Amino acid sequence: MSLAFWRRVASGAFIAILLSGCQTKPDIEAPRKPLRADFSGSWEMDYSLNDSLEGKLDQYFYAMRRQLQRQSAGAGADRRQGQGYAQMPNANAVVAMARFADQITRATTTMDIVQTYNHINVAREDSFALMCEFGRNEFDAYENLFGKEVCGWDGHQLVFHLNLPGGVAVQHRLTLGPKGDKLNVATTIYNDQVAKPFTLNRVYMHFERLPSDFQCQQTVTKGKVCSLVSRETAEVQR
Amino acid sequence: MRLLVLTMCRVASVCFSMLFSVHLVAAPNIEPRLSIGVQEFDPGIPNDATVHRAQGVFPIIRKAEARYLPYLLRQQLVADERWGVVRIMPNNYQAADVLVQGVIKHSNGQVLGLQILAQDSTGRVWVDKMYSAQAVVQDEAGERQRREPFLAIYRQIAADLAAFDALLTPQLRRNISTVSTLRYGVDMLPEFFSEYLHTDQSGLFAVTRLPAEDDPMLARIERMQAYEYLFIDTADEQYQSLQEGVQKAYDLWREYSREQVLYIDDFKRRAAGKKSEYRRGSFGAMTQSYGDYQWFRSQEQNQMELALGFDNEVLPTVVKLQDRVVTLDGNLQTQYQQWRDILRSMLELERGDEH
Repeated sequence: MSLAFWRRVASGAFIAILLSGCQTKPDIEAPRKPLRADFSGSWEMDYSLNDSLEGKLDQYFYAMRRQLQRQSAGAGADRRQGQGYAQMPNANAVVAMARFADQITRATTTMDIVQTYNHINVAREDSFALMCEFGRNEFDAYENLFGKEVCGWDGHQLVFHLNLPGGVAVQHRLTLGPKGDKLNVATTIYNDQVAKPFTLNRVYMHFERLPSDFQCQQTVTKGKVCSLVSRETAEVQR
Repeated sequence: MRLLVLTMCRVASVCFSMLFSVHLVAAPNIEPRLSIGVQEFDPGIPNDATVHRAQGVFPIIRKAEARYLPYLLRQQLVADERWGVVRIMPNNYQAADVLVQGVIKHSNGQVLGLQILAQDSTGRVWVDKMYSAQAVVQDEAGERQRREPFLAIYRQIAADLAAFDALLTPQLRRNISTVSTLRYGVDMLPEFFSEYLHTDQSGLFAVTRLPAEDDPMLARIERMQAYEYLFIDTADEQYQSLQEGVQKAYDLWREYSREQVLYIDDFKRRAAGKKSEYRRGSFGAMTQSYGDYQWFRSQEQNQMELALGFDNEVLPTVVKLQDRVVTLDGNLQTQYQQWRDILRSMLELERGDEH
């Protein structure tokens, strides 16, 4: 996997339209022409390629510290080295963003993606599916009382942006690796209490899902209930 | 007097009448009962597809409801034991004494809203009213027993129909039945039956005069009407199997939907009543916002998944007709139209034989 590729993945610049209502100000860049990569298939998390949460936090605070130092130097103040996290402005909020990013992405160990030219459904384990129609409009928007989702292509990357009440936004940027066997999901958390968003990458590798020996059914009280199908029945279904 | 003659004449027209319609076998000294046709409801799907999601309208569910809810109303009417035959009809052909039509205005599991119009064959409006009810979910004897949550609506509609029916004299009921047959005749053979009906000052259908007792055309039209009922009764089995097949998934879907509505209400109450217990931008606040969204979205997606399970496919209807078996394809409305075309062509053939 080339370094340039992952750098591109990590660069979180996205569309101003998507971020309306979010007080953080990322770099504003017009979306690139859609190239519609094909994400279809089953994907499972490759833990060896995932971001380390601690590493990302270190990077984040290092960058913040450098920025503060530059600002301090510009203002003629003393340079102070080796500041701890606690001394950084909004350090708790940053740590909260990191924990939150980790929490909402950790459980999704597998994904099943069904994609056509106009539609994609990213079924995520232990979470709601990400769905996007990219037929007529450049962006597909969906809103309910609890938040607003916008999705669309940014070049070969597919972006899902969710604005939540309380000045929080969650963005998932899906990028297919050059060989098509790896999928990166960069999850960026925006928080209006913190100037800079926090991004955590999860990497998935392609796998062939065998037909299940379980038959599942939605129930109201217990959620999805699955029962074992007899071997013979499963064979017939295959 | 002529009405009475016609009724007597119907009594004489034996076997088909026995099979097909209560009003045809009603002897003059027995209180006549009117037949009811409950037409498939209008699903009430907004034309603008972009508002479906916002209004919580799942077209595939609404289409199933349009066929399922009339069946529930029919069950209530049958249970009342007040009426003659109660049938579900795919289309608005005036083949019943009283026709009940409905539009689904609202259906989200928690609230059901139906606009109901009931008219007899003379065109007199019995009911034109919006019915709305909240779902009633009851636990009985410690365990949940299946009970239609909107039973109150069907009971109310049935009660309103019964109240109107109670105002009618036996004479008026017989008149309605006569007009039903004649209107059916006008529909099938307008050139022959139009002269027997007219519209009075109030815009209602009224009998001008009656066909002769031994009029072969009248006998034919009664036979055709009987065949029509044969189709409707065959299609009725489909409604029943739809009801059996869909009920479980539909109840589940409705419960998901109801939970969503309750959750939103609860959320609004929480939001209006107090501020979040978490500091803005904190881990707790983010988790709470995301959790609400995730719950709602998951429920919604489960609902969509269930909606896909609704199979609106209708099996071909096979009906025995004299010496042949007819297979009708397409949805029930199309099948009904095909069937009527066959009946018309039979009439034409029979008339051709005469000439």
